[in-house]
Amino acid sequence: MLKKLLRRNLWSQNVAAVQLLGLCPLLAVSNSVANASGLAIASAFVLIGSATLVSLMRRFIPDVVRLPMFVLVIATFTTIAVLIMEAFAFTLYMQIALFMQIIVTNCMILGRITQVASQEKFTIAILDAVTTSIGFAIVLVGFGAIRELTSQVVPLALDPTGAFLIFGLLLAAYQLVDRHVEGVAQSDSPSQAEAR
Amino acid sequence: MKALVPILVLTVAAALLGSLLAITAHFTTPKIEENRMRAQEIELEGLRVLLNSRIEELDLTEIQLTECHYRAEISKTTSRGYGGDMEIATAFLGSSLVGVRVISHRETPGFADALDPKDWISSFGVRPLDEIDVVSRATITTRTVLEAVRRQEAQQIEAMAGCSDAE
Repeated sequence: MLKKLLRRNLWSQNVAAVQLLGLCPLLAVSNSVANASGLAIASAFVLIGSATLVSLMRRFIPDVVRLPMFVLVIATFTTIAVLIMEAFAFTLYMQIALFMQIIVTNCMILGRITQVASQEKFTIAILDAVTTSIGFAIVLVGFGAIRELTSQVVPLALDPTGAFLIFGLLLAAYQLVDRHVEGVAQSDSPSQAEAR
Repeated sequence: MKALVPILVLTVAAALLGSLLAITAHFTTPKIEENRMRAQEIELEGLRVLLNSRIEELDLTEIQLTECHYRAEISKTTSRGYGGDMEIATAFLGSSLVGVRVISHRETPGFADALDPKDWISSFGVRPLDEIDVVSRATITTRTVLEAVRRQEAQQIEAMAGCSDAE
């Protein structure tokens, strides 16, 4: 189960690299590894906290108030993350304050809550939230590191234009690697590839 | 009765989550206030440094600094920005503007970049006030600062005029 979730959420269905969700903060905050790490940790806190609570309460939530309830839970965890970061990481908070506050509108989080946390068992909901958070963090921090390093040679990398260009190139590289991996899998075992 | 269940569930959840927020706020608010105060103190310290370096540049003696025309002064004023009140500190040496800092504001973080000491606000005291224009991506925020500084400068010039009359 864990292996399957890791494979899906870190690679084949990665929320940022494949589903392209949460791109606004990803492109805006990834101008340094520190900023990217801050947002990745905050997003993980909100997603894991919300998934835990929604999964525990899912039997008691009437269908007609599902969406308001999910938004209420996500907004609560976002505000808690904002308060904690403003209290204990003030300098970092001042750099990413705007994007901390809009975690509440991140489609990636609402998507996982509606598709998984509100439908599946508690363990699956938690594992999905954790692996999704890791997948998002890898893309966010990795992209931040690439932009920060590239900016030493090409200052454009820190600008929004550079962010779009580098992200586009990374997505192209991802597709190439993914096709290569898929090709290897098909040649190794045609029946497995068919099953995929 | 059945129709009330969703409302009841939502109300209970809102009360519980609200309590969770209140508890978090209770423990974090003192630390947040402390951080904000420290950030304000850093901004004011930046102005004091500017003022001292201007005094050194002009090579003013302590006796000269006691004179009305060279009085070093940091004053604060409050103006309404885009998101709420902005507390603006201005440093003057006599009637000459040395620097400006915004020590507290409620502007949207991304749009308040111009208020960073390394950004637009650093042009005050370096360039003549007439040559400083608002920033197009943060028009209301920067206009508020610019108008507040102009008012402060006018008051300072008026005070200086009174000072020469008295002498």
